[in-house]
Amino acid sequence: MNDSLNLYRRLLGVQIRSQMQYRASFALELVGTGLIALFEYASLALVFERFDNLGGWTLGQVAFLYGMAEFAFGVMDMIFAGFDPSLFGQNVRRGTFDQLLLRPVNISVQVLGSEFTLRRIGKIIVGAGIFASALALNPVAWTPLKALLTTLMAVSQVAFFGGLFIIGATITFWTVESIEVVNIFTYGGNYMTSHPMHIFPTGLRQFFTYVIPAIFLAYYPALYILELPDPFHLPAFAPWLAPLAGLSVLMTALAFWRFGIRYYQSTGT
Amino acid sequence: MSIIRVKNLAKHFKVFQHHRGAMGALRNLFTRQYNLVQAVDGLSFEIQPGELVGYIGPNGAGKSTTIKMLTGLLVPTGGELSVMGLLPWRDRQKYVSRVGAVFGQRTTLWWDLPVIESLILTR
Repeated sequence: MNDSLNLYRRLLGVQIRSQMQYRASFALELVGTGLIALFEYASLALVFERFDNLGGWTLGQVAFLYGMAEFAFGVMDMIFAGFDPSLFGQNVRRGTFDQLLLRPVNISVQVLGSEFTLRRIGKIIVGAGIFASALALNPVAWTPLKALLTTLMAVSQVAFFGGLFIIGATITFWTVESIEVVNIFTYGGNYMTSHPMHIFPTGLRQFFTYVIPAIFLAYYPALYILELPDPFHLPAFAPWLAPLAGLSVLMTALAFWRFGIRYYQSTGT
Repeated sequence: MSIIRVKNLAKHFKVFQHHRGAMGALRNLFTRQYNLVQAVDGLSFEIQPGELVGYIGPNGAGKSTTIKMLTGLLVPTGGELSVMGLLPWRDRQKYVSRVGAVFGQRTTLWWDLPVIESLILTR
């Protein structure tokens, strides 16, 4: 455990120094990812100029979900970049995963430390800014429980989407190329968690409730924190399912990952 | 007492059968036919401590596949394999700390950083 932490710290250091070698490029990427996130949000915010609410939610309330989702997905994308199926798939395709297997240290820690996309900080800052603007537009009557749930929301979303990245990476042991269908769950799930879910068609919402439990990561905690009524009348503990949904997906993903490594084909000579 | 024991070792790959040309690419989308490639089949040998051996064969004979099983990268389809009493793929972490392997045309150095950084990292 201590060895793994030490290894992770070293790999992280190398990653950060590598990316800092190209300062201008790094600065541009940082600004770029931030601006993309900001413009995407602006296109949503502009809708409120016309309609002043989205499914009955004000801009401040939607921004609460949106800022949180943007922030958490950015953090996840930075930490779990090594497992990003489109990146990891290349290691499988080229057989470069061999190198990691030949080193006498934990394989999952190596993959985690094989990529750390520092430029995501741009997106993370913008996400945090949107979240702060939500609190300014729509002040929350804070209680200790609400503060706890807000923290749990962020952590659970990171764990949840990190788990989906790991599942996507594992699938490439069989498919070699990363498969687009995984993006439905990752980027689709991210889209769902950044909007109030009652605006989506029933089938889609139920899919992201019972199959992919994304609704408990964002919508239900937000209902509790913003003190809004639950249109679907789920039990009162529903907002507190967030950590369960997040951790169960991450744990399942890690088990699947350990199983999948056996099917690595190691292309090339 | 042998240090490497290999008995009836096998590694089979399922290879997706490919049709050629534009029409073939279309057929590839709808048909799923596999060929079983027996990269290594029925391989047995033992190596004693201190023995120096070479392993030769034509292209596609399964040399790399054997080495990859011996270094714990690949999980064999069948047969037995043990090195120093360890099962390479299962005891990977413990095992690879005691063996060395160099594969052709694969750099293990860190891109973007001076060579010294790669050396410090592994210390």
